Amino acid sequence: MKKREIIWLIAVSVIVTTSVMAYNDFESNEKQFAGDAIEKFTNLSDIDMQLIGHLSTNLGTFEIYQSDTSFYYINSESNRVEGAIFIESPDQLKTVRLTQYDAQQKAQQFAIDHYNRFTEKNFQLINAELIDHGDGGIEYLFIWREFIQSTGTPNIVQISVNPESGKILSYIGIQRDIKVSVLPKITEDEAIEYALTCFPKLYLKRESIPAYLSVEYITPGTQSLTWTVIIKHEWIELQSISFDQMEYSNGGIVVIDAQTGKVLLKDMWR
Amino acid sequence: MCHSAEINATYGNFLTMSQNKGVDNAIGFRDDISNSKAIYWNNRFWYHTNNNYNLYSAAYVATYETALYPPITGNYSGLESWVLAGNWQTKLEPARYGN
Repeated sequence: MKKREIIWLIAVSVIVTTSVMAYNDFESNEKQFAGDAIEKFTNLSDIDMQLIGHLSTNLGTFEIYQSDTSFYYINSESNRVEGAIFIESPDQLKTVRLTQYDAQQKAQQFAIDHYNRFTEKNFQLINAELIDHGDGGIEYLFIWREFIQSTGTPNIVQISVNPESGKILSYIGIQRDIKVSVLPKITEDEAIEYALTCFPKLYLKRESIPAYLSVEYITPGTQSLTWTVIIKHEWIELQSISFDQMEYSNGGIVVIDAQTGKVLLKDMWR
Repeated sequence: MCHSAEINATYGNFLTMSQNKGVDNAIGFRDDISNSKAIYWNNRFWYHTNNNYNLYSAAYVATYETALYPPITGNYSGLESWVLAGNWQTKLEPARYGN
């Protein structure tokens, strides 16, 4: 082999080896960050965990780690645990022993312990319900949303609770800085008007249509101030065809840009 | 499909009807479900069943991930109303492995 070829071979080998080492270092650092985040979140040490995937949403990218029957969703940018699932057998979710109030107290305490400055922010409970999944068990679900004035932010805390034992089944805690104005140029009435143009064949009572002002991620990584209009045409009977008892639901969710009035999303019921 | 787990006065319940006709497991939804979130839920559910999750875990995790999929932040658009009829421990295997 000529001298020049040998030098080239050595150079290529060095580059490849360095790249592989750098990648391994990157992976190792990533796992270290994740391990630290999970240990901080759980207050446990030496957790055996595996990276099992990634989840890309408009809110950001999450690395998903599994440890036994627990899953952790780590925000790739902040290296913070923003979600966790603690899977239990539905056999342990059959009986409701806790009142909704008691379950809510447990969920709220978990939020205080795990969400940064939960009590200092203006979080409001927007959903509290007992959900029966049939053979998939029963769970309490609580969702808090942070509000600035009367505008909902993307910052939510969502916790579900085992109605029998009071254990936490899942947690979501989104923490984002608000980068857009929370004051709309479009009024609620105008937003409903624009939303109704998406369903010209529906006859609805305007006063029955709810609209919510909030900051949403309509496109990846970008916040928009929006009106979310929920349009439900309650059960129409299809008497013109023979299925006289058959019913269907119509309408959908329409998201309107609260600054321009543009329809950003029309999401039909199916 | 919207209200597929709801009991209709005339036709009963899609889930139990499916089981009566020999289906081992069925999943439906009690409430209205929005199209985009339903598609997302569907993709995640099959992804998890393909990764050897049982039906309960696949449905639970898919629903959870649907809440992380905006818009609307923190809203499930009805997908949280899923109902399982059957054996939650069932795992799905590709047909090519069957007899």
